Amino acid sequence: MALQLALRNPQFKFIVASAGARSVVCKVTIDGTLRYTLTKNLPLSLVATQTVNFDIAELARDYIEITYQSSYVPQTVDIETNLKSYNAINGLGTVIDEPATITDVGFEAYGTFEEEVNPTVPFGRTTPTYLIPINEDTDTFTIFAPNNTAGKLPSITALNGLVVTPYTSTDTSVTNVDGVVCNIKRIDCTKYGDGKRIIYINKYGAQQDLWFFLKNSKNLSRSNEGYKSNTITYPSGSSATYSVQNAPNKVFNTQAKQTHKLSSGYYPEFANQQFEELLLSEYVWLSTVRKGSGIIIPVKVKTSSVAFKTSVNDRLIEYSMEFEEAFDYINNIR
Amino acid sequence: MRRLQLYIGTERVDLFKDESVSLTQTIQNVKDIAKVFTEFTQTFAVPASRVNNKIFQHYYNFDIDFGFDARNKADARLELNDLPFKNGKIKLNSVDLKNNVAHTYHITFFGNTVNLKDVLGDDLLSSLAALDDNSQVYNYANIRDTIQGFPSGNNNIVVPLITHTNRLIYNSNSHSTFDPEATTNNIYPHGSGTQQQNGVDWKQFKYALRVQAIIDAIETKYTVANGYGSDIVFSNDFFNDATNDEFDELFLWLHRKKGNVETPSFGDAEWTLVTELGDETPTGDYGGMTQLSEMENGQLEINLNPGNAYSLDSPQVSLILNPVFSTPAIPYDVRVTGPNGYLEIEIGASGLTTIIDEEQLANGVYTIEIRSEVLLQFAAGGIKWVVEFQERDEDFFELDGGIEYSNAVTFETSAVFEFNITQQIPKIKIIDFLSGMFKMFNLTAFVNDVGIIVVRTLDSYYAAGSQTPINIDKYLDTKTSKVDVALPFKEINFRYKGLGTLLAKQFEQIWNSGWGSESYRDNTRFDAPTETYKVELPFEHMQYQRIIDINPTAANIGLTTIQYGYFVDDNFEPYYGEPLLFYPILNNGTSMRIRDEDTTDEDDITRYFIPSNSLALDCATSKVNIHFKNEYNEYTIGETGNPTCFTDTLFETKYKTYIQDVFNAKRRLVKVTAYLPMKVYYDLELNDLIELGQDSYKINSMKTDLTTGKTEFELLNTIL
Repeated sequence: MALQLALRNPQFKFIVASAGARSVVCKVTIDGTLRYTLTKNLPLSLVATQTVNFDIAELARDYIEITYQSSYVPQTVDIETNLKSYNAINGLGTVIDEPATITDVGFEAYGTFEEEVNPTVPFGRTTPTYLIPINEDTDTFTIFAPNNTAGKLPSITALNGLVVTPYTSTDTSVTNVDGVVCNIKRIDCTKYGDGKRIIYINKYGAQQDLWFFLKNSKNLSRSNEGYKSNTITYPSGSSATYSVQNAPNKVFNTQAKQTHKLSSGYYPEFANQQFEELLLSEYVWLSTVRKGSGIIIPVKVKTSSVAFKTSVNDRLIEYSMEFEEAFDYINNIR
Repeated sequence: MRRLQLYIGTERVDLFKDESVSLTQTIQNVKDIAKVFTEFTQTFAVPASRVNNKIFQHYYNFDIDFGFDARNKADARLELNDLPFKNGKIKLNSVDLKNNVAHTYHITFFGNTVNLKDVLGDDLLSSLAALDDNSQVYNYANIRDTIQGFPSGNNNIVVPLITHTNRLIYNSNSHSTFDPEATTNNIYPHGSGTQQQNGVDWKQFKYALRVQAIIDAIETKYTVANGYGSDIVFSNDFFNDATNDEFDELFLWLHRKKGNVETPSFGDAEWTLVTELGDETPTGDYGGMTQLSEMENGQLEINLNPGNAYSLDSPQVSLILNPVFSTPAIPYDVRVTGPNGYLEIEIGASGLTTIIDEEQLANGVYTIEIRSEVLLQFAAGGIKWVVEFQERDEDFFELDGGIEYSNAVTFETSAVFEFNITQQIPKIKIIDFLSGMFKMFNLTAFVNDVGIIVVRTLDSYYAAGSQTPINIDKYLDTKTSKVDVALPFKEINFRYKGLGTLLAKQFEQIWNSGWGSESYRDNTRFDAPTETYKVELPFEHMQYQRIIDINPTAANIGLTTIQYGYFVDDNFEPYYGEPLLFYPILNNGTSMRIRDEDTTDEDDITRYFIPSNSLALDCATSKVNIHFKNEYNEYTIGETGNPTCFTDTLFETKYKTYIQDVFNAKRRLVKVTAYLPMKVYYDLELNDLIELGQDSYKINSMKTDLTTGKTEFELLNTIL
């Protein structure tokens, strides 16, 4: 069965080259197209077997084109790794070793240091499972959402592959096609509006919602450059002059950025994992409203460090995070 | 707000948000006058994004086959706000890794002019195969005729009166039998017909090639179709302009080695087929034996019938060649063709040689071909097949005999010697040759929008710019600016590298100044600058000699219409030197004798291409010449009138305007910063005049941050 590779980590593929092998060739096919051929030459004196490794993660990760998906289906790439050893250098001569082609699926996912080498999704959990953090104390899934909001949950299963399970605006739990249950804890956040939804690519390479229920504030910061201009003119027939309305101190390249400071509201301690994954995500969006219409905009998590809170120390766990819009306020896309 | 787009091939490169990309542009820099510059960016960084990783193919991973090849620059283009801005090349310098993963690629953008150096590499002029379209047979008749005019259908080739070894004199009161060993030849045509008196051997002369033909050959060779990165096409502003006489009439003397013309092999001589071996001489018991060979039209046929009782090693065949004796022996090549192709090829044989020595040849027809650089004769019997064999007759009696086939009449090689241009052109890199041309005529070059290399003289380049100065006052940042001294040199020397021929050397020894060389310091001594700048052309520069009749009649002062170049050093030894450029001028008048020392052929000619440093022999026709300093004209110096009237020297016409201004006391190098909007920067050319206040300036250089428009100018104030 194909492994689900976490491509934000190194992923080593190896071949055991027999004695007499002089080179090893690794062909990496991504989404059906041969993208890379890597060749390593081996020492002439190789008399015993030698294991040769190739890291294919960076090569394959380039081909995951992450965009916001309203379907919440995780974006992946199919990877085929074909390794052979040859009795001459540079992949020439005859083939000595030819193990079976390795077929994998690559995710925009990552394992942690403790999860060791070549981590794979879902990082030791048994499938089927949702591709979101689990409450490890109870071994159950719980998400938090405001009242009257619907959503989608991605999950993975050996039988059905990647599936997305929608939940309605009133559901308090949802069961996916493989029978895995996820509880939905509804929060009343009407005091501060409707809540702010952050969407991000989580540790599993899946798109996940995280709601900030309490107050939010928006800031705009402006930047520009300036120089001291020469405003003197030389009119014909009279003395040099200048206009008092013409500013010598010129301003140019004015630009602005908007930032959003969001408060999460009170979360249980097991939800710390979600904030950690949000902080470590390279793809984050904010669901907001512009001119009366809902819109998803890309943002960057400006907050760079979070002190994880515990119920013992902090009683009530609440995070305040700042997000910067990932574009200039004045449109300058070219 | 300005956005920069960089494309490598068709892929748009991801750029860092705040990365500053500064483009430096200069085409003629007062600090390095003779150099042709190109625009380039400082090295800048681009992120190792997914897009860029695909472009650079994870360059840091050297296991990847067929990845990005940083040994070559890649085609690239810059756009500003999606408007095409510059085409050029990208060089990948390095990759930064963080945590063993690519983080940043460091690249540099170069304008297209530098492309010339990349494409030409270290190729020599001799690599231009198209030059051989102009190759000629090197023999007496051709040299004699081409001294007097262009060969039929080819006006790229002349034979100038430049001798590689012998001195020419004209003494109408002297004649003697022509001596092939003499190094001084009286070319006075004494007597008429085959007199064997006086004259110069034709082999003293070599062909010369029009320089424009070299430009043509460069354009022919360096094309995308021929596998090069880009086409080299020059504009017709200076090169490729038949009306531009000062360049179009320029010729390069085809002098690869000192002394006589030689070829690296006989590869250009024609093979001559031996068609007659009519003498048959039987030996031993041949008369009683069954024949196994025949001779017809010089072709030997071996026809051994296996049914006959020949010995197992029959026949034993030999081929022996013995040319007419000469000192030194004339080398020759031999080629024997058998039923299975070439049986034997002997290169550089000399004198009596056994080409095939008692070999058992298979049945079939065998032919002989011989070639040599010069005519070679084999007297009767000089070419000989020997066929020997043994046979048992019906009485089992052993017979031993053979037959010799040899030429009954003298055989001669055709000895046609092709003067291949690529084998005879001086050894110089194409890029050095072009660079020499650029220095010689003070040319500038840039690549236009359609990829043509626009080549112009500096003056015409500036004249083509905006003559209405572009006022940038309102974009100027007046916080800081700087005024530098514009004169970085105390003196500028213009000279040819090759001043080693006899008369040029003597001139230098007498006048303490190189022939045609100029040292410019504006007639003043400046002690503030310390350096002397040197503009040196990689060419030979000869002083020619108009030949005077040593025995003039009372009616004239002995001036002939013959001017020649004596290409020897100051020890009167043949000289190699640098590539020689000159103007050939077809002149009429005095009769001179040219001859073939190998035969009795001789001709008296009254028309000849004389070599000249001036485009014309009369300054009323043209004052153009290829000196830097106005020298006495070699042809007119003996005539009444002004021999220094050829005033259009290279310095005067190509450098003076620019250089004089540099030495002017009012000249300044002004450094200012301006924030140029797109509407100004996009169309700004380096030959446009800039206006600050009420003063106008030439652009010496400008460095622009392409993302902000911040431009640091170096400006030279205009001297009126």
